[in-house]
Amino acid sequence: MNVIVDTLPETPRPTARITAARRFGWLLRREFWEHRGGFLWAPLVAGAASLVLSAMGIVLAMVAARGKFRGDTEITLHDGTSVSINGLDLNMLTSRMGHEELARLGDGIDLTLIMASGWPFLVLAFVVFFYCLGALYDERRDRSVLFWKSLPLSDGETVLSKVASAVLVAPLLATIASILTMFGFLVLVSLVVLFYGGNPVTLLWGPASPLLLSLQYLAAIPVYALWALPTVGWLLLCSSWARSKPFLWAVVLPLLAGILVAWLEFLGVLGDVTWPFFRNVVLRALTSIFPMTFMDFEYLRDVDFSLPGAARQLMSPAGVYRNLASVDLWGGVLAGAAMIFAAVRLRRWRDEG
Amino acid sequence: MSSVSERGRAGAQPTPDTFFRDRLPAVQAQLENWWAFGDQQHPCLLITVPPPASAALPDTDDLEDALEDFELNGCPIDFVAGVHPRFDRARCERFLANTQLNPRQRVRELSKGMIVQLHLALVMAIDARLLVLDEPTLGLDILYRKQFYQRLLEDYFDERKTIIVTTHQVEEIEHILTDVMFIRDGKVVLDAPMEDLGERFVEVLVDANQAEAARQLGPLDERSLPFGKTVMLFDGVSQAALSPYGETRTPGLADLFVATMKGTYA
Repeated sequence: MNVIVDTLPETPRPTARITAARRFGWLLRREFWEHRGGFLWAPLVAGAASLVLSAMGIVLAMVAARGKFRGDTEITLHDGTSVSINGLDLNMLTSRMGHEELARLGDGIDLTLIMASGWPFLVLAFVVFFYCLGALYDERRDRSVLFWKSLPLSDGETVLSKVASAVLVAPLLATIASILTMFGFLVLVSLVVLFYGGNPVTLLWGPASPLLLSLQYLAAIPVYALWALPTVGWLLLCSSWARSKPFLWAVVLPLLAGILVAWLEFLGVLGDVTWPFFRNVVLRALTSIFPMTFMDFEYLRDVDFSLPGAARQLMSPAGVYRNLASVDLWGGVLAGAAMIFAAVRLRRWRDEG
Repeated sequence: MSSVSERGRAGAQPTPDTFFRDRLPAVQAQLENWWAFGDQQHPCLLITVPPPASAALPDTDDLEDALEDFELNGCPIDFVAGVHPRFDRARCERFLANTQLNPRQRVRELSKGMIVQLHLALVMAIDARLLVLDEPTLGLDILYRKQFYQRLLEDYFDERKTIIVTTHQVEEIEHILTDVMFIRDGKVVLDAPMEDLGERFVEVLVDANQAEAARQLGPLDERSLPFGKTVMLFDGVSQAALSPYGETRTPGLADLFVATMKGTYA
């Protein structure tokens, strides 16, 4: 007895060559299959909901405006942006507008587009938050981790596939949904303009810059990914560590720490640290997955909103990538990477059940 | 690794969680070494589905939970084929073709029996040298339990393969084991090849008037039968020495298990 299997002759059966990249691709696919609802459908539904609400608002405005078209009228498009409609002849308006006025109109439309296309991103933040929180906890709770661990996949690969799903796959899908929403919105407004006999090409598609905005969105994803790492790392760490109620741990621990710091400052033990602590630790750990938080768009201070084309500056790659020069961003990346590493180790040893 | 490399070794566990809680990390560490060094000669499918500490949750649920959102063709088959170097997709599909499983079905829609078929199909399509099955048939109907082991032996097992099974259902695997291990309170209390059991353990059907004399030989366990007879179980006493006291025979694994584990569940 005690025959060591290693000494037995090898089978002739060939084994498939499976490269690390291919394995990782399958892991990403698995995450997508498992979270199709959150990653794909939720942003699309949010975009569609925004379109439906916009359409309802437009119809309301059109009904309200009917009968007053003899004089000067405003049609509220969406979110407070308005296009002045001088009687019914929208072409007249454009032809009379100067270069700067056209640019301003374009700016207004761009801002509207950014707001209309923002919904999928808002949903994205919540999807990513709860995805990370459940990523390593749920599999332990329902013990399906035993099956996943039974396959030749390392903990590192598995956790990294979840990180990549959270910071790259989900944002990419949300961005696509957002771009679709943007174009849907333009089509919607074009119909209105057509309804009033205007030319959507000169009035909307010309001055607005949906293509540029779309490219800017896509270009921002890598920076978003880096910025989101501390939150993703913290949530994954809680997910792999908590025996129950990962949400409470994830939210209450940083908040309590913040309150403690505030209390110490109040007592005079610490100097003026409460706000920096909240800003750099508490909020960074919990809200970095929200796109366009006040922190990651510091460069906006440099944007002059009184100039034409300001809306296009909002997401300009030059500005967004300036974040790469900030200590804030790289500090967060380091902290996030450390917490992800800890989550990998915990997944290896954490007892299930 | 010798402890898990032994062929066909099986252990039965009195406290459900102890076996894998203690040993899984070691087994996994070894497997991870194999994988980490790209040693594709060894990759295993380690289906570990230990029973839960409390609720009567059947083990196939773990597989079900892992896969419930997927179509059969998606995660179970495509995914395993995508990540496992030893997974033979054609073999898996051949096996499933003989069942009533429809590849477009979602795993959560499958009945318990179908999950077992899926479980088996996945296991058997992987050309692993070491297969660890932890309570694979817990919570299953007797029909499926029989089928599970039968298919495993007929279509999968060969002289190159090692299968480790942990189970409480001693009697259903008794005849397919090569080695057996009993674990009591986390300690190994019996570790022997099956063929040695017949030499080591003897059961004697003792008449009432011989009982006292037989007891002098120190039976491991005894139980009374109707009509004043007593069955005594001896460890390490030869058959020849015992035959004067009554009819001797080799005990079943279940009897041995009961004798060894006496008091554990009290």
